Amino acid sequence: MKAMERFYYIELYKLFKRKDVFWSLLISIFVPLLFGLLAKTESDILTISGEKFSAIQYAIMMFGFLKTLFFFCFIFIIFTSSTFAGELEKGNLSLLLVRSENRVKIILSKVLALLTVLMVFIFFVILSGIISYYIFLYNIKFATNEFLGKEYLRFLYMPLLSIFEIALLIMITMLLSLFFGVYKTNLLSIGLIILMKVLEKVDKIKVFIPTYLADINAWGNIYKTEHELLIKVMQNIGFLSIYIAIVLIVTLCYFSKMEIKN
Amino acid sequence: MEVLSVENLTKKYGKKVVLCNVSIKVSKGEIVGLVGPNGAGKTTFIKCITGLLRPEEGSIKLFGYDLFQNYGRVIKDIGLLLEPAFYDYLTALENLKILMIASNNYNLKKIQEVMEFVGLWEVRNKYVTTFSFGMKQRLGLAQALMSDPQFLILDEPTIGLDPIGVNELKEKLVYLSKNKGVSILFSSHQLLDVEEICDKVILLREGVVLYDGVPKEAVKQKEYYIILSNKKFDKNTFEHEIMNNYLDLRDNVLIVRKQEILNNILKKLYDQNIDILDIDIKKAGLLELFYIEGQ
Repeated sequence: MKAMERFYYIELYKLFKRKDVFWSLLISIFVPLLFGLLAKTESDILTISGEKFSAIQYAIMMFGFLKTLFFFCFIFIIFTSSTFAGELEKGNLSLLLVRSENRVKIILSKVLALLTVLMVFIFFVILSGIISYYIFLYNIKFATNEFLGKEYLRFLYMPLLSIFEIALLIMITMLLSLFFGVYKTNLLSIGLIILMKVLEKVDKIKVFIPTYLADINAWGNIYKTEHELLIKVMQNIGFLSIYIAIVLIVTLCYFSKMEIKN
Repeated sequence: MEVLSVENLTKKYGKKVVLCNVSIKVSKGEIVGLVGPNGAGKTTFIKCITGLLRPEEGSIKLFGYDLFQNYGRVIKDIGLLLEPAFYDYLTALENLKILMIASNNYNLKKIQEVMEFVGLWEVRNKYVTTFSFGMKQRLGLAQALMSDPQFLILDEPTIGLDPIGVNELKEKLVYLSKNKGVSILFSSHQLLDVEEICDKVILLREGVVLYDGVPKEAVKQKEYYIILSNKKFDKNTFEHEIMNNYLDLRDNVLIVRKQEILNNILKKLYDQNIDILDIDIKKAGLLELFYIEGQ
């Protein structure tokens, strides 16, 4: 196995062995099932209005619900800070560093493992949403009983943009981890999300704010045709990718020469 | 053959000099003790020779190769135990497995051999969180030994061990050195640890090597002159003597190691109008003297 593959395997193994990752994944899967059950029983807790929805639309609505609660942002800040700042503080990272001639490979494998976990989370939330739809919502008044439904692409853009948004958050948390401990890194990353959410309200600068770029609900309705929307989505993905690349390059350059004092 | 050759190593944290012109050699099969009080620069030195810290000046050669130019080549032959660091959510066996995979050297038989050597094979499937500090130290030693290192670097391996554990560790280190030809550098602030098993001892204080030689010489009784004043001594006044290891200074205590320079020192004190409260002659070994000071 090549160095990069080895470190990627190690990081992935460690992440999936962690209890916080396991429980967060379980919560992600549980939410669509719970909502489905509440809708089926027409519980008073849940109010459903508007158009009927398809299976994929329901699954992505559930994903959107978790995203609105900043669930993915918070858990991935915690996963990232403990993977970087936590291992730097404890000294685990030193043991890996003295087993590799290339520090960049270690950090890249950590990033790739975190992104893989992010994909797994999104996959399971959507899968759980689709399954709950067919178990609980099929043939009830809110359901179209279709798999894709109308304008499904508009719905699919949301998780796509979210992948880039959360990936950027992972990169920023990783960079902060090189300077601060776990606690401070978590606070600063959460503070940064709040700051971005506030700046989204300022008209002149909101187009540069990553959380705005990734929020299709904020600007998606302006674009009437599928083609226009696709171009805008691609444009925003491009901007987010540039941000990701900048933060990643800065992190790699700093980390490759960083002194491991702990 | 020299396993480690360090020449004039200087390391600073900001403006603070943590290691000053340190030159050390470790030969094949040799056990070298690195002794010094807390803050002497022992861990910093170990981190420099393993590439975790970059020194400002000096050269580090491992197995005859420059460390930073041949990092991948030399680092695979080193076993390192810093402060024991594990993944609490993994078992002892898993902790070792992932490090072996990282070294591209996965071999379950080797893990078993090393875990049996440190006496942890029976508890291999237990989570590290359930381990006592002594068990963690032994697991740390297992981590360091897994890659069959030619050079073992251990930072304070006896900390937290009970006397039986310390003796067991010493026996294992002697076995590795004498039977397998492993060179060992281990740091400690316990005087007895180094005296007993080391072929050579290096005494480090405030980043300066005070002594580099056989432990017997270090514990040989010599005369020292201890000068007491009511004021703190100024380091700059005795810079030359400190650099040459003729003299130690701590607040209002001066320890003069060479009788020949005693008159010169007294003259300097007289010129600076420093009152001398007492001059005492003490017979002690260098390590003993350092140990008393270090406390």
